[in-house]
Amino acid sequence: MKISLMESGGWSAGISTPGQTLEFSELDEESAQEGRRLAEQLMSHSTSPTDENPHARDDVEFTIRVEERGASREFTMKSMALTREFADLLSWLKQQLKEKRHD
Amino acid sequence: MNKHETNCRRPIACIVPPYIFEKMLDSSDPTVRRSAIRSMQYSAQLRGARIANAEMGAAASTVGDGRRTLFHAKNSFFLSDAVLARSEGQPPVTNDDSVNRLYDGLGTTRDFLSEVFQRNSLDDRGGRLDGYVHVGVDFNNATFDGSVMRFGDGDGTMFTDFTSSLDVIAHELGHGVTQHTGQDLQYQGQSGALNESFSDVFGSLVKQWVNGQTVNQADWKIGEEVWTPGAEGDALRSLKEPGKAYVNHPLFGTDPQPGHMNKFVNTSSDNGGVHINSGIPNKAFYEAAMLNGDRSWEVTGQVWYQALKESSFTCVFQEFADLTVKAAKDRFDAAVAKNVSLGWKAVGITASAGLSVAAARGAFRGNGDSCDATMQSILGQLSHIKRRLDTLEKSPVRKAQR
Repeated sequence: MKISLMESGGWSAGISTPGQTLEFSELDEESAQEGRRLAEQLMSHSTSPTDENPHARDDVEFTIRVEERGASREFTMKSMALTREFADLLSWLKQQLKEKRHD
Repeated sequence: MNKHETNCRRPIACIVPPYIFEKMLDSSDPTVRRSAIRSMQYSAQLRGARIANAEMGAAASTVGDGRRTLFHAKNSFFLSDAVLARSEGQPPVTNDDSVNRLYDGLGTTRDFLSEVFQRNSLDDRGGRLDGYVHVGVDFNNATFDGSVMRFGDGDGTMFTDFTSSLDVIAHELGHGVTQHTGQDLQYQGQSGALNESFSDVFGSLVKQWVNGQTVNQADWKIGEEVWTPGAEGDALRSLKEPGKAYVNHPLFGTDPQPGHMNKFVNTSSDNGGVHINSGIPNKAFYEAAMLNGDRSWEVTGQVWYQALKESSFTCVFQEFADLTVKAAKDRFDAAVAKNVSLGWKAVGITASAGLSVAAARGAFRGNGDSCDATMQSILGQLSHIKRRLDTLEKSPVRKAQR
């Protein structure tokens, strides 16, 4: 499994930011297991964001792509309208990417 | 109970478009027609009550003093996970600079609104200022959601803690000012770019004001303290030189903002380029401010604020430019109006003080007639429904008679 994260809009709107990808094969077993659990939770529970706020300004949009065995699924949500499942995976992913950067 | 009545027994809970009710009025079944009429009447009454309640609620609500309340979001995106960090009047916290910086930034911006625009907080009724810090993990953003502000810590590469920049804090509050001024500016296309631009202008004004800077001393940059912490001197945006806030950055390339209409970016992303094309009115403000000289908040800032008050929800650059020239003439003199006009000319827009459609709409709203007009419209709808009802009662089965 691998998970990619793309961000657009908000204070970084218009800036070409490269997507970030996390290969599960590079993770320790415990982290990979947790990531897989959160990805499955997102895929099975939530496909649509919560109601968007018409007064939202400078909001950023996250796209998470989950790939495994040649198949992939994409989920896109704005930071102020995240579902709990999306936010859980996003936070975990950000944490993993942060640790990867610091290694 | 009839099956049709069962389906729409509580009209308040029914999300049914009006044309469905209109269609139901054509039914040969009098029960269906009665149900439609009841729902239409109820819906119109509800709309009227909603507007009346909103007006009365605003009039009756207590005027506040822009009380600050700060929360620690604990790196969650959900505000319900946050804990109270500091309230109005409390001393600085000892272990969180983000909380203290935001507290001070909100206070400075609130003071600017009061002293420069004679405005009581964002809504001019002393609305509270709630801010959340440490939102999300490595969150590269700061946002305003219509009532509260959220600030991320940044990822340390692209951005650092968003509370580090006063103009970023004031930018977010600027969205609150726009939301509560005139008709708000729709966050899409040119009106959205004006919305973004006003927040940038506002952020820069607050920074210049608190530092006592003249237009020549100001840096005219937005987000210098938070953008690319590893690089010195660059910023996310520049009112003085859109497109040159950062150049050839190894990761993020070059500032994409245009500074002239001949480089206007047509795009469907970013709500139609609201953060991109805002460079054009930003540059117009800078040029006008430089021509007017001295301190930007005393003349050019006042002109832009007045134009915001008169702008329409879907205002485009041309309309806003005309409104600024008109505001300059009304509030100051022909010389200021000429400088403002030249500011717009520098970005490829010919502005005049003639009473444009937008300005005319602004004058109309200025008398508070907009609400009256809406109420008149609803009364008209109720009257229309009553006429339909009278007609139907005289002719119980319309289709059968045709």
